[in-house]
Amino acid sequence: MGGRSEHRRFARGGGRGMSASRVLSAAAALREFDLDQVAAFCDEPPDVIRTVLADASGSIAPVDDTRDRWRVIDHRELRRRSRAQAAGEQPPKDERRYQPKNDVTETRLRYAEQVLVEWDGTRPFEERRLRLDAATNALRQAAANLSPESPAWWQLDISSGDLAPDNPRLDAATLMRLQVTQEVAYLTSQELVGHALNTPDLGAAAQRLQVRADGVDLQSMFDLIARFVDLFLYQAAPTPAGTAPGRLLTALATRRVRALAKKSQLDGLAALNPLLENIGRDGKPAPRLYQELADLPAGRKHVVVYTDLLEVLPRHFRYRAENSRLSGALTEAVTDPETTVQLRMHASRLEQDLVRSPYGSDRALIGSAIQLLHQIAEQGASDDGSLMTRSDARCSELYRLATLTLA
Amino acid sequence: MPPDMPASTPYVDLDPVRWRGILARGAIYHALRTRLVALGELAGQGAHIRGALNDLELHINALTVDELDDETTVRRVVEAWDAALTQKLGMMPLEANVRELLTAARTLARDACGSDPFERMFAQISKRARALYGEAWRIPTLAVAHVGSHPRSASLQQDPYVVTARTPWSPDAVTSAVQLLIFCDEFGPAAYAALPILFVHECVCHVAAKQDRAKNDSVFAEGLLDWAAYYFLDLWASGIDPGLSPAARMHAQRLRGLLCQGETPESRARLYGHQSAETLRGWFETRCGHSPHEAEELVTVLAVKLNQVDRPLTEKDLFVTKLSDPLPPDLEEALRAWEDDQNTEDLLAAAVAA
Repeated sequence: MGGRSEHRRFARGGGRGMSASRVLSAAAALREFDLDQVAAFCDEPPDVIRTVLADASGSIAPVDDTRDRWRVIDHRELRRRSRAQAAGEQPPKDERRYQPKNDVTETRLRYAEQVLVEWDGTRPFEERRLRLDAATNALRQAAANLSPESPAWWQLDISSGDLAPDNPRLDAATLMRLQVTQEVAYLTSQELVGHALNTPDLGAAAQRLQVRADGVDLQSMFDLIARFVDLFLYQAAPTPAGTAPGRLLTALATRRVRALAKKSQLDGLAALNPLLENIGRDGKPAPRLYQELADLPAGRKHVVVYTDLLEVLPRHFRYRAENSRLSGALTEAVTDPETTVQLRMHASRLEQDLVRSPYGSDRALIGSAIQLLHQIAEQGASDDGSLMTRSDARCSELYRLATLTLA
Repeated sequence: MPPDMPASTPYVDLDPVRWRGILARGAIYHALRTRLVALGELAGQGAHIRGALNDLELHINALTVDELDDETTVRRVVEAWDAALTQKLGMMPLEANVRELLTAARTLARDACGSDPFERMFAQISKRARALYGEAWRIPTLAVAHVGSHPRSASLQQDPYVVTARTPWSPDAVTSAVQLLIFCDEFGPAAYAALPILFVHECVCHVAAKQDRAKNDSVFAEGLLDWAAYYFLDLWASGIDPGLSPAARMHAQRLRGLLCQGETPESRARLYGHQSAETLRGWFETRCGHSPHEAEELVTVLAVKLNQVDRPLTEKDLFVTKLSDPLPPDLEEALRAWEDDQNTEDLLAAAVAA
């Protein structure tokens, strides 16, 4: 054993001084320790450790008169002795030490992105709070590193919307990454505490991202933007106490935007604020399946109607579609008198179905709509040979929307 | 062990043929351990060393299918490889360094024996980690198993470390199980030399861990603690096996580079935790006046002590994310208090406070 220890001490280039330095240094770090614990830090045999500790008896004392457990009683003196022993020894061999690349900012930004994208809303509240704090720390550190002013990272406020102010040193893609990560972190924090954002703040978040996204390849941020869209839609939807028809329209609209964002994130971002304006927030009336806006000459009406009802009308019912509302869930149209009657009747029937249905989930509401649309199409199929094809296509899209997974 | 399992494999997840193959490789690499660095370097440069290692593979594949005991299996492989090396040395014009290495390999391989090199190495490391953790230690068992592909789906040229290890989290306060997973078909000298850091990582980071669950993307468990594991690998390497230590250290660093460069959540967590550890080390040096070694040691002590605090892993992760230069004043204060009183629970509580 002695030979092996001598060999190692020699190899480290320090002889007895190095050995003692290691023992004392480990003791100083541990404060209270037993023989094995010090040995784990200095890898010296027990006899060497005991000798070194005995030499330092003014700084270290046995605990409760036991032989193999000690406590540091004069930390400053122990450190002084450790350094004195180490004086003259060669510095630790650092040539083997791994040198992390200077990519601290990238590491932190990616960590924040990862935590936010892989967010698990089913975990306990405290765990989610800690995870969000960790992601927020990482995000603020990345932002501080990228800022020309080098602010204290812990003072950066993720709610202010300007965590990533225009910085000529940064490319547009990095600015967009910072922005979307910040927006997602902030919306996640609001969701965590059950706080609903007011409409101007929510709209401003989407607006900021739209501006930042201009000219940026968003592919690498796909998951994060999708997460933002989900959080936005979650926040945007009015309270679940709304009417069943209103919730059907809201569900279709939000799911269409979600599907759109999957195809084109830029288009998805652009669809957010128009949705927000028509979804029935801030005391505005909830969207309805059928509403007459104005009487027009020759008995025609200016109406807003659930779009899918227009699609299952036989062709001899005439109307002129004008504007699309609520991400296509509603359509403004000018209708002939017969068409008006049909639409009013179908909307009323669907409303009754939805209100009577014992199932209130989005999927159940969409399922009820599909069922009625199919019945309407079957009734009109004898007058219009292409109606069933149109109806099937429309119902297929509704099925897809119903099965879309939302955050 | 189930009654239908042949008695010739010590690991229930390895069939006897696989076991004999992996034992033969391990036994011979262990015998060659003082030359593994040179073997790895020259294998990358010249066909003759690669050829010799290919010969070894061929003999292992051919000879380990026979139902023989471990000692006989290793001896037969060594004899066959010895003959192949003798022929190579006798017939081919070889550069001096290649000739010297193959001659040394032939001589060293003759000392290979049939005892389990994996368990032996694991026991050495486990013993040291147990001393580190004291009463918090869980007695670990080692299991070796075959995996059907490279653990990181990489090519051997890019990443010769076809091994990985894991310690499934267990609420059991007394025991734990470390699993060594080897892609047996490609298990070469570099992978063997990387085993010490894998075992050190499992023992330092996971065996004694007090937490609510395991997470591969934990910046604490896979990052800060992993940094400490490299500290201990460096410290313990010559005690674990003086002959293997140069190769163990070198391949540990190479593996570290690969594991930190990946695009996986695990890689990012590792890199983040290492960066945090370096930040804390720098803080202990520059703000507390410690020497580089003292600072390194304090980070390591803190990591090990945090691992024993019975709090959720997310709290420890949050602590690690706060270790960014500059440190927040409240954390600096808490760290100074920790240096005085070593109360790691208080430190964690201060870091986690909203």
